[in-house]
Amino acid sequence: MSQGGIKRIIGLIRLYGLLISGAVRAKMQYKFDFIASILLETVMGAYDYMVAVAALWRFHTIAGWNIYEVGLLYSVSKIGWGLYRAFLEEVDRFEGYIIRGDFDAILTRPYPSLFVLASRNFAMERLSFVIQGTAILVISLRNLLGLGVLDWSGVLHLGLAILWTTLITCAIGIATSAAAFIIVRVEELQVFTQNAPGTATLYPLEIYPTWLRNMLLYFIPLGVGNYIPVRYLLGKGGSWLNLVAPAVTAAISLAVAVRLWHLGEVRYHSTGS
Amino acid sequence: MSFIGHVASLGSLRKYRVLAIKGFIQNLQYSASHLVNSVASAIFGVLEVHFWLNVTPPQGFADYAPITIVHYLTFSQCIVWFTQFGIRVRNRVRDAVRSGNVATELMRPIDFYAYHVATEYGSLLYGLTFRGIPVALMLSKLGFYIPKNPAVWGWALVALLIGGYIAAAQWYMVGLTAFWTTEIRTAYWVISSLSLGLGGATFPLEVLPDWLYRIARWSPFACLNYNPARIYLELSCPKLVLPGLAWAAIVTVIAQTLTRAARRKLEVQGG
Amino acid sequence: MTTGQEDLAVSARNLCKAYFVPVKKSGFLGGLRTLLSQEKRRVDAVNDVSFNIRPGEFVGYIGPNGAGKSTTVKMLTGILHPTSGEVLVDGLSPQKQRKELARRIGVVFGQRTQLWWDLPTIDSFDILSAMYDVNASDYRAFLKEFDDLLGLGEFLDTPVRRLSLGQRMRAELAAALIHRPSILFLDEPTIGLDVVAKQRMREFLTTVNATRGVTVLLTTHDLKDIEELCPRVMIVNHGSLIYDGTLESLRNHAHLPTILEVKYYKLPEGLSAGSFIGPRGEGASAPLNGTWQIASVDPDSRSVRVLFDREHSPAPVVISAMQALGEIRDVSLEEPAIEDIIRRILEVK
Repeated sequence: MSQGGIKRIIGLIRLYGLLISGAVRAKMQYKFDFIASILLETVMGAYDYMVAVAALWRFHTIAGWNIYEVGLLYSVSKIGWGLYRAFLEEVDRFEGYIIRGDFDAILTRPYPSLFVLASRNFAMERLSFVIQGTAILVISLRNLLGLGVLDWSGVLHLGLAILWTTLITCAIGIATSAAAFIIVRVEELQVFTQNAPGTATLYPLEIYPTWLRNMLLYFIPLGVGNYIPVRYLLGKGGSWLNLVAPAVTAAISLAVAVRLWHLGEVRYHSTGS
Repeated sequence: MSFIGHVASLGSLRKYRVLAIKGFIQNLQYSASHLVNSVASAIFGVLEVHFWLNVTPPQGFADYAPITIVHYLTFSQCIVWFTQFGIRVRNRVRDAVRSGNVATELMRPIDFYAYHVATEYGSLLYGLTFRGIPVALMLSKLGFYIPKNPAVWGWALVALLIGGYIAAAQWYMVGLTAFWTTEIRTAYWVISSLSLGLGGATFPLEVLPDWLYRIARWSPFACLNYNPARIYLELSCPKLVLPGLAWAAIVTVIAQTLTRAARRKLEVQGG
Repeated sequence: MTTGQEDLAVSARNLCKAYFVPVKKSGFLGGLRTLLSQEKRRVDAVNDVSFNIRPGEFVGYIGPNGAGKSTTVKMLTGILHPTSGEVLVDGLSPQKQRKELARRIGVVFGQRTQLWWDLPTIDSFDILSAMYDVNASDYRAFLKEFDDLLGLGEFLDTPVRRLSLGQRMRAELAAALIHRPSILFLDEPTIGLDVVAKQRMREFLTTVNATRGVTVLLTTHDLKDIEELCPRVMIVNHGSLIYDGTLESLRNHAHLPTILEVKYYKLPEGLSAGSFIGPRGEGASAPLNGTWQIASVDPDSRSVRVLFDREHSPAPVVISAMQALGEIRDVSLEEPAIEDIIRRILEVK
């Protein structure tokens, strides 16, 4: 990379830091709200996992996966979701920008609109998902490492799986919000592209019918982020390719998402006339 | 004031019926987005069914055969809009408190509690028909139970209507907490987790550890989903509507007491 | 090439922006039927608009709500993509070179803020100076200069949400100029301000335009802004540009009569309200093209009001003609109000 390019990237990172520190300082004026919501969401957000615990407590395994193994799927998915929400909260809430007409101001800045949007907020309260996911990850790892099902290189690969899952989740979030350029309201679409797939990938994909599994692997590829590598790491099938697939999927889906975003931006209809 | 006395003092029930009908009709104009919601509910139904089919042993558990579990889940998914998502009443009460409109609303010659619950009930009934029936159709491929005996339909409906009333009252009370806290979200999260988990909206309560199952089945939350589902699937006899009736009475008294406390707070502090 | 479009601050050629909105159905399941039907209605927000703006000009862009003002400004700033037509702003395409252009233009949307709501005002300037790569010494100079011009110093430490509207708009203007743009787009910058704040804003804009040579395109509903600031006016209605010229010729263009009030020592005989006089008075039907019309005759104050058209009848000619009727005690001239001129133009088109 040219020296100018590197300088530009360093400049962008600096600017991002400056903008985020501003956003965080602004938010700290409402400290109590912030702490209350992070605590509440950490506890309440674990509902799905509690259901799984209750079920697996009684019935032991699901499709041959025990509660600790399911815990890996769950934590990779939840941490990815939490990081996506923390970094791209404003992208996730993008329909509001379209409805209020606030996207106009974003476009008057000399930077890509996704960068300007992302740098408006770092949603620390969403770290509740990361805290909760990490807690479940630690519990699961203690058990699996103790039994020798997983070794430390496996832990490293899990870390990478979290990274790829985060990027895939970001790509899905960006692509979904890009639809707001045309249909304005995407809250209901988000249920289909984010919430439902997010819930589905908390559990091993072999429990689902083929069409649903294919959907979660090829169309909304959240399953490639957690299920594919975790399955291989736990010795439940697949090859080293299972560890590469998430990286490739993350790259492709991000490229597609950013492309969709640009296509949408050209069709942006500002409110008011 | 005794419960019966209070019911009598509600005056002509006609106006509350009108409110319920209005609440129902108001929803008709959002039919497009509700259809989308129904598809989403159906998809979550599919996920639940596959989760529980894979987790339960082939012989089933308690008095549920695997197909009965499917029936339980598909039925529950159809009524989820009726019992679980009382978003409107809670926001309406909260907004009234925040904007100060609540003072005028409390002055009206109409019972504040009954006004909100009746409006909400209409909108819940809309949820039951216009969201529930499409979900039932979409999930019918997985298995949807149709009782042969018309009496079962009747009793299940009675149990459901009682459950809907308890739900509306419960969401009303969540909104009412706005009188004492700035953020009603905490109350909402607690009640909504309890009514999902202890109400049996996403699994039969028998899955829970025994001690929790015993608490859950006698809690008001079981009247929202578990009891109507058991009656509908002919797993329990119609007597199961009785806990619902008892809880409806208790919840009414609690809600009215809370409303009176809220009114006093408003009178003392002047809004 | 010196006559090309590159030398212009803004050039728009046959600019069009059309929207397609679904036709709403009402009644039973209306929402669902709207969703399913493919029926769309075409709305031409901007229709074949062309104009040039030279560097350093101060142009007022006016028209009723929904006429297409904001849509045009948004196409010039790269926010919206035109359906057809060409735009160059400072030699760049706002759509293809949006980010480069953003460094050369300043934008203020009067109803929106570009400042960080919960932070002290100075933080917004710090952030913007970093965003536009303003070096430290230029930034210091900026703060000094704008404290002199706009009194920014008074509220730099106050969070934006606690500023008065007047203070906030001053901060918005400063924020739009921090990177020394050569063109400034202002969308209703005086909306909601009180008289004093408006005046201050106008003085500031005049200074910026005169001393820095910044080109300004201003949309506004306050025609006082136009009168005081804009030598050139463009009027848009139903998406089309219906007038582009100086404020002066706008007055003539509207064909609205000037009113001359003449007070006599002794009211001349034979004048009646509604009658036409002047060189071409016979058989006329309007006070135009050298005909004048008596608007009113007031015997108590012995005054006569005459409507005439300045383009064809210079005021001294009218006055001396009135003098011929009797000895004049006093005269006064009333120009048509700009509101009336614009209303007239909008009605005619």
